[in-house]
Amino acid sequence: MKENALSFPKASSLVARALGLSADQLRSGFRAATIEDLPAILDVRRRVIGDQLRWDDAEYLRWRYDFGTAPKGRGSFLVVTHEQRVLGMIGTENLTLAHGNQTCEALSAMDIMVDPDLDGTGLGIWLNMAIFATHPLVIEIGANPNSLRLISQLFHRLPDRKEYIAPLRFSRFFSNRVRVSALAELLALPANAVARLWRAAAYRPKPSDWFFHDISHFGRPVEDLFLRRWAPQEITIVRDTAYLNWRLFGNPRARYSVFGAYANGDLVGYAAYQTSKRADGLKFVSMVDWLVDDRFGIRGFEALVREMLTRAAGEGADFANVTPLHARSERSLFSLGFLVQASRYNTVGIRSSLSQPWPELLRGDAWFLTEANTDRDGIA
Amino acid sequence: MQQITTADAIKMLAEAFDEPAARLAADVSRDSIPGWDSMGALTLMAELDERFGIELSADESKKMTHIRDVLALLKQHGALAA
Repeated sequence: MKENALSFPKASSLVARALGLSADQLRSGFRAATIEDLPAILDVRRRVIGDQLRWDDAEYLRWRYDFGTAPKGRGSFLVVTHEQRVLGMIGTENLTLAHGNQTCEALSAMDIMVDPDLDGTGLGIWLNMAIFATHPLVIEIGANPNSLRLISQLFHRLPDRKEYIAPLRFSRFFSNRVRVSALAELLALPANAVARLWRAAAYRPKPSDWFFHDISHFGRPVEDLFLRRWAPQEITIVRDTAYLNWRLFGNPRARYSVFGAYANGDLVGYAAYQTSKRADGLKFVSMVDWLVDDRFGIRGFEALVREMLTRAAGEGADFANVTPLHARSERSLFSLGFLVQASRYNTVGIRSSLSQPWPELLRGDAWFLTEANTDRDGIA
Repeated sequence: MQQITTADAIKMLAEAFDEPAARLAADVSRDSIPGWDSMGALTLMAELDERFGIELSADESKKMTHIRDVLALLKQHGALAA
């Protein structure tokens, strides 16, 4: 975070002037959106996202955010309006962070968009600053080319999340590199065999008393599991029944599969994954969230990964991937032969006031974040 | 009105855009300066306002496509020493 960054009052005055408003008009036009604002919001989003918008956006926004009507999402969608026109917007998700047995409230900021006609006014920056003015702890996960520097200047950057990739079927991988499909298949045979052998050798067997079962709805046992979670001193987002059912089973934009690990009838772990096809036709299975009982720790995590890989192979996936910010899991994924791919846009930014509850908040190795803590939903 | 030299102006832009001053010259375009993004543009607007009382609008800001446009603006407002 840049210490001499622009002050909020100064930014308010400059942005208001650029918009042709007074600073008071700008501030008073900043409010929680209601359902009546939805058509204008959708119009701006359509113009910003363009032909990449391939989902029912109204349904998605009404699921994610609270517009004052049912269904209610888990945070406000804030807009800047002037004379009935929506100028810009920022979405929020209310989060509870856990660190040992302590908790604190935080806000995740996402879906920041500005009417394209108002590019260059600085309104996107002002929307972030307006959130900071009212919330002591803000997290922003992920960036784009235009917001990368903004995040570096306004947030404390944790290490970027890295994508860990396991190739499952090499034929598609080779077919993108050699023209003759028969040759790609031929090259893939030994590569597939080596990958299978590697997995058989590198992965310890799952605990003998474990069995896996699909989950279609979370209940109280997941909250008990959260209390018994692996490395509870790490900072993570509280998984309770309501949050997980909303995040993993209610999302109209993405479908997730979830399986639980059970030992002697107790839920001792779960993993959620998403199957998606990328623009190049490659099929990915992405592990988006998990918890494991502290009694099993790294061995339990590896058992969840192995089960996810088995399911991914069964679905004919070309690759499986995991994109966490979690030093322990990342070390394990690396030793299991996952390839590491960095992206400068997989940022994690923390903005906290001086009254931040835990000094560890600013340390990357203190965090456990998963893909489910983002709003990407597998959309590139 | 405070007057600055071209070298001072380049230094000011380097700080606003978080770029080495050696990379900035009159004919360098906005597209080739990663830091001349929305944050850089807003920081520049703040600098011009605070140091020289130049009130730059969003349109004027968008129309500046090269370093020389900023230098010309400073000159036009009497802020750049001849």
